[in-house]
Amino acid sequence: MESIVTSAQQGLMALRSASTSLARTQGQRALTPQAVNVGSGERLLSTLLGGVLLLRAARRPSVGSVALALSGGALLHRGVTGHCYVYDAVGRKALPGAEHTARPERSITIERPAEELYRMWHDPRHVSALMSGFAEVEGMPDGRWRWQVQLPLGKSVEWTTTTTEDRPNELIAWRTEPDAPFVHEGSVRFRRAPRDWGTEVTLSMSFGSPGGVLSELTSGLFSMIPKALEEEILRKCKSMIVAGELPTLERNPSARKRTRSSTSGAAARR
Amino acid sequence: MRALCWNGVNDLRVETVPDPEIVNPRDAILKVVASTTCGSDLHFINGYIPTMREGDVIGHEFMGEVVDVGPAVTKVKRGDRVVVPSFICCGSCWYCKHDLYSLCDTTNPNAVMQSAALGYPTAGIYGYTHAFGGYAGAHATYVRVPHADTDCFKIPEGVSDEQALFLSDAAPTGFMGADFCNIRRGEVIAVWGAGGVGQMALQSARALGAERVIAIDRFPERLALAREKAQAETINYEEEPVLDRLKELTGGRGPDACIDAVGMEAHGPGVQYAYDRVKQALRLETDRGEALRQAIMAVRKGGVLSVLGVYGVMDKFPLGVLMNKGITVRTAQQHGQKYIPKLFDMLHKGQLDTSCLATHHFSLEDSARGYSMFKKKQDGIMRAVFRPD
Repeated sequence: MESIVTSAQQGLMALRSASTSLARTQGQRALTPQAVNVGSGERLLSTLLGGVLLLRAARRPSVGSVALALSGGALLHRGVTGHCYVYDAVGRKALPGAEHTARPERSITIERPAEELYRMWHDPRHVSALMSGFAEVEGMPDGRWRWQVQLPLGKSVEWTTTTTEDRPNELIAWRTEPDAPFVHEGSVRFRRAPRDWGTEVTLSMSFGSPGGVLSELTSGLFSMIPKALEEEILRKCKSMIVAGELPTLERNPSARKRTRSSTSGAAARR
Repeated sequence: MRALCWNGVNDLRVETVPDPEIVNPRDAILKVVASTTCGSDLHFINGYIPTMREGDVIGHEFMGEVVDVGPAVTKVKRGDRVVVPSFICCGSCWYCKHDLYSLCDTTNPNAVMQSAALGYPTAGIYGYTHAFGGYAGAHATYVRVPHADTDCFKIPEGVSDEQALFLSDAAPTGFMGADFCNIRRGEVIAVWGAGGVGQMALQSARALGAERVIAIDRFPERLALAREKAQAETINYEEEPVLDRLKELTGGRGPDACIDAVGMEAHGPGVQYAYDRVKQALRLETDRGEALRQAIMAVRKGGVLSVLGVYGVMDKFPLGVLMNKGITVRTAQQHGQKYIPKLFDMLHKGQLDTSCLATHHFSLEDSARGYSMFKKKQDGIMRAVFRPD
């Protein structure tokens, strides 16, 4: 059996080439523009349904299956390109405000000066602690970062990012290197907050190239996934720097786990 | 160690669970000396608030002896006898620095989950729902106390375990409720609910200068305690119409401030109560808001409504009444860390009697029975106090 990493990477490569070809089509459309006029959830459904219909048609070739294949193909096209000719015909040329899919971002206010927070986001120890739970992040001597995400069955996916912009006490931005299995971009911005609030910190993390399927999956309807991730990271950042520690339920007593027998408990302390 | 665990709706059992350990450098481990029931526990015992998990250790009102401290703890020492507020606070964030301790921004491990429900997360609590942190509670032999230097208050000589116990939650909550009323000389304060928190609010309102305090409840022994300890006038809502009686007692003006010390499982004699009861039983609404609605109706024009009860998403909330009468609403989960020093002082001066709440005593092993009595309000119980063996 092929390893999951390879298949995951192949999948990601496929997504990448799909999004590249999509970008190319979009480029050609400079002549005959076809705007995205299908919402992201609907695009996902169209893509899935179109794929299922095509597969069913391919299994048993017949006159009926040609019709099936045609509608499957149309749905798939609609899902992947995000353009629906029916919508176009009834006057829905584009999604309201869909020209730019906003990168999901979250902000938090931290009662510390920007200088301190900027330093923290440059410290490999801190960054890897902030990202723990999502990815293992390691700062390399040349200033790049190596990311590793654990997948089920002990497999993992890895990528490397380089810093693309670094303005002291203002902004750190990073992006995957060209040979990465997919595009990951991120940035953290620092802005002075009013009164005694400290600094407003904004974290933005996106996955997949703009217009690509992965990017679609993690924006719009599904942007809650990166947003929840960003909020978790920002909360950790705040607890660590303000309270000096992360709130934790590690070794929290409950009647759920009976495997852990604590002999180092308080009985020994009396 | 032994601990009282939630295993489902109306299913509490004392079980053997792992001892807590020092996890973070600012932690302390307390050997629990005494812990007590709180009315807000009944909401998850009865299944009206979500995010409990089977096997959770419950209990958030407690005092005890420090038996271990982490390397970053400087003020608290082994052997200290301390009381701990039910909210876990870091003492360093903006909210803690501005005395809004229960809004601490750094101590809820499930902050993201909770902010989905509230917009922003609050501090964590011991022994409550996972939205509020999921920290193990204190109806147990030992409890882990994070941020020990901020959250452990050393109990002065001359203050008994039982007096100090209620400074963990009931007393600061009640005092805060009275503090919210901005009481001026000559004012009349009405308190719905004469349980632990209500009694503390009545006594505190007196201490803060209220000329008269009025207690509203249906249990004669609770009303009697309010008369005895806070010189309260009392209204038994099962026997008299509350709004008429309050108007009578205040020359038709209404109380200057009304404190709700009841929450989401209010009782009442009317049609609205029956309607709420059915809807809540069918889980179509989270709250039976009879007491709160009555308080909103009763408070004088331009007065203060101080809400201490715990609520979910309430139906038929009479916002128009609040608006048209120009009422100021003050509410919070308790900021115990702000009030405990003041409360020690009040105990010392004899302005506050907390130990009168400790009407029934149980060993920790018998704590499930204690909750059952507390829930059914049997035998004149005010609070059940548990002591590990």
